[in-house]
Amino acid sequence: MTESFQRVGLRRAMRSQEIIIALVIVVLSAVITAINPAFLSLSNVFDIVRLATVSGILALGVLLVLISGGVDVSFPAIADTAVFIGATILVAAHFNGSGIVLYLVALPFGIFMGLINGFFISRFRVPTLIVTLGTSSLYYGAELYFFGGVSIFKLPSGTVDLSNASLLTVRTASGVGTASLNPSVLILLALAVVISLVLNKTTLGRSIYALGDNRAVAERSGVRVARVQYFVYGLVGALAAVAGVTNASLYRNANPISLQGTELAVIAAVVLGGTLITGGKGTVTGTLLGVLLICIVENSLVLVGVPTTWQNVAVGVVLLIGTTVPAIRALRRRRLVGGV
Amino acid sequence: MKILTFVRNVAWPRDVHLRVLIVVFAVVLVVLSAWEGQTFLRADNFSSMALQISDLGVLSLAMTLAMILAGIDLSVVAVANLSSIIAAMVMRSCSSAGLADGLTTVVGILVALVVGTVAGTINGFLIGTLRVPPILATLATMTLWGGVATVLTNGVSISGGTNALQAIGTQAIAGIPITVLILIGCIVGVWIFLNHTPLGVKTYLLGANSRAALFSGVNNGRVTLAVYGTSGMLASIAGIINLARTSSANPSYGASYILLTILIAVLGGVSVSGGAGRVAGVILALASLQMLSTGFNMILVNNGDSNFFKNFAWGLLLLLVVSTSRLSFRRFARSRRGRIRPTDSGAPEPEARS
Repeated sequence: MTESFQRVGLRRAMRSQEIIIALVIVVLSAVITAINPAFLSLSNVFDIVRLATVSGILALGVLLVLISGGVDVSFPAIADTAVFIGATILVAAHFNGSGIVLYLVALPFGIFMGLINGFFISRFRVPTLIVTLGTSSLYYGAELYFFGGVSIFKLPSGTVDLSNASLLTVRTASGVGTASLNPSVLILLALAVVISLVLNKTTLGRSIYALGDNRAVAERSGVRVARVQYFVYGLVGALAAVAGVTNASLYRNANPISLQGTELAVIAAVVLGGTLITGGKGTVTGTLLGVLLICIVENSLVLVGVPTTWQNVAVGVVLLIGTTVPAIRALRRRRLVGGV
Repeated sequence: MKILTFVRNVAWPRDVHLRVLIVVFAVVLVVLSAWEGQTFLRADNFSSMALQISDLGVLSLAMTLAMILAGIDLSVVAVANLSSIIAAMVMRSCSSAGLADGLTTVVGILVALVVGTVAGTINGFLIGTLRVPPILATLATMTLWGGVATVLTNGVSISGGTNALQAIGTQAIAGIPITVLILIGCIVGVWIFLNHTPLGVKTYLLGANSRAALFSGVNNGRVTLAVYGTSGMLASIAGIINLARTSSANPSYGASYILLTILIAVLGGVSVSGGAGRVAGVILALASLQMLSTGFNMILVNNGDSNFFKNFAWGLLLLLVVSTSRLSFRRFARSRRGRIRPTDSGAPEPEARS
C-alpha cells in the first residue's frame, strides 16, 4: 500500500517541471565541469548569481502576471524609467547618501506605471499583451524624450558602494585575486520568499491563480477581478523598479535603456520553470530554476570552448526543447483521456 | 447607385474599428498638411514614405496572418534576416562561380523564399502539430534563427547582392518604386488569400474557435502549417526588400520591428484573440503610423530626438485606439442586447484575454 503510494508520489514528482529542470541544471553543470573545472570555481558561481539577480527579480514579476493569465512586456521599460527618473531627481537634489534612498525614490514611479497598465487592462479589458506593448513604447518614449537619453554616472555614493559590497569574500583557487558575492542576491531571495508566501498563503494569492485558471469561474466565486489585476500589475511595477535600481547599482550607472530587449528572455525563463503561459499555474521555485538555467547556458559557452557567437543558438535550442517537451506531454495526456 | 454604396462603404465602413482608423488617418493628414503643407504635400515626400514602409508593411502582413489564427509570430524579423543573409551568401558564391547576374539574382531570391517558407513551416509544425503555444514556439525559433544568423555572419553586417537586385531596390516603374509594388503585390495576395480562398475562410474559423473548426471538418494542423508557412514566406520577402535596398544583410537588423508589426496589426483591428482582422485596416494603420512618423520628424526637427517622441506617441495612439474601439463596441452591444451581426464584429470580443 504505502509502497505504491510512494511510487505514485515519485512518479508525480518526476512529472513536475521543477524536478526536471533541476535535473537538467545538475546534469548540465556536471558536463560543463567535466570539460572545464573552472565552472564550479567560486568566482564563476558568484558571477552567475550576479547575472541571475536582476533577471530573477524581473522574473518574479513576470511569474505573477503569467499566473493571472496575462503577459507583460513593459517591465523593462518600467525598470529603466523608474530608476532613471529616480536618479535624475537625486542628482538634481545633490543627494549623496545611502543606496537605499534610490530604491525608495524609484519605487513610487514603478508602482504608478504598473497601475497604469492595470487601469487599461481592468477598465477597458484590452488584452494584456497589447496594453503592455503600448505602455512599453510610451514609457521608454517619455523617458528618453522628456528626461534625456544619456546615462547618469553620478549616482549617490551609497548606490556605488552597493556594487562593491561583499557578503562573502574568498580567495580564488589560483590565489591571484578574490571572489566576492554581492549582497544584492539577498534582495532576490527575500522577494522570492515574500512572493511565494503571497501566492500560497493569502486569499489574494489564490485569487491570482483562480483568475488565471478560469476568469468566469473566478468572477462567480467572488474574486474581484479588477482589484486583483491592479494588485498584480502594481506589484510588477514595484518589482521592476527594484530590479532597475539593483541593475543600476551593480553597473554603477543609470542607463536609460539598460534592460531594453530582455523582456522575451525573462518570459522564456519563467516558462521554462513550468509556468503556464495561459495562466493558473506556476511556482517561485520553478521560476528561479528557469532563470538559473538560462544564466548558466549564457555564461558557460566560453568555458566549454564554444565561441560566444553560438550563445543565441544554444539558448534557442534550450527554449525549443523546454517548450516542446511539455507540449508533447500535454498532447499525450489529452490523447489518453480521449479529448481533443 | 452601386458605385455610391461602394464609395460609402470604403469611406465610412460599417466596421467600427475601421471608422476610428479612417478618422485618425484623416486627422493626421489634415493636421500635417495645415502645419507643414509645403514640405509634407509633395509627391517625393509621399514616395519616400512609401519606400520606408515597404519591408515593414510586408512584415506586418506576416504578423497579421498569425494573429488572425489566434497566434503570434515573434520570429518574423529573425526569419527575414536569416533568409536575406543566406541569400546574400548564396549570391556571392554564385557570382564568384561566374554565374550571370540575372540568374544569380533569381537563385538568391528563390533561396530566400525557401528559407523563409521552411522556417515558417517549422513554426506551423510546432504550433499546429505539437501544440506549443504560438508565443513560445516563435520566441524559441526567433532566438534560434537569430543565433544561426549570428553564427553565419559572425555578428557583423555582410554585403551581398547583384546589380539586378540593386535595381529592384532603387528603380521605379511609372514613378512607383519597385519595392512598393512588391508591397502592393503582397497586400493583394494576402487579401485574396484571406477573402477568396477556402483556406482563408478556414483561417478565420480556426482563429475564432479551434474546436468548432475541428468539428466542422477543418484539418487544423494543416491550416496552421499553411498559414505560418505563408507568414514565413512573407517575412523572407521583407528580407529580400531590405537586401535589395541596402545591398547588405545583418543579424540585428530591425530588432524594434517585432513590436512595431504587432502594434500595426492591432491598430489595424486585428484581434489578438484571433478570428478577426482585415487587410484594409492593417494598411490604414501602416500608412497612419508612417505619416505620423514623418510628421514628427518635420515638426520636431529642432526639438530633441523625434524618434523618442515617436515611441511615446505610438504607445499613446495604440492605447487610445484600442480603448475607444472597445468602448464603442460595448455601447453598440448594449444598445442591441446581443443582436450583433457578424459583419459588425470587427472590434474584438470583450472577453478576449492575454
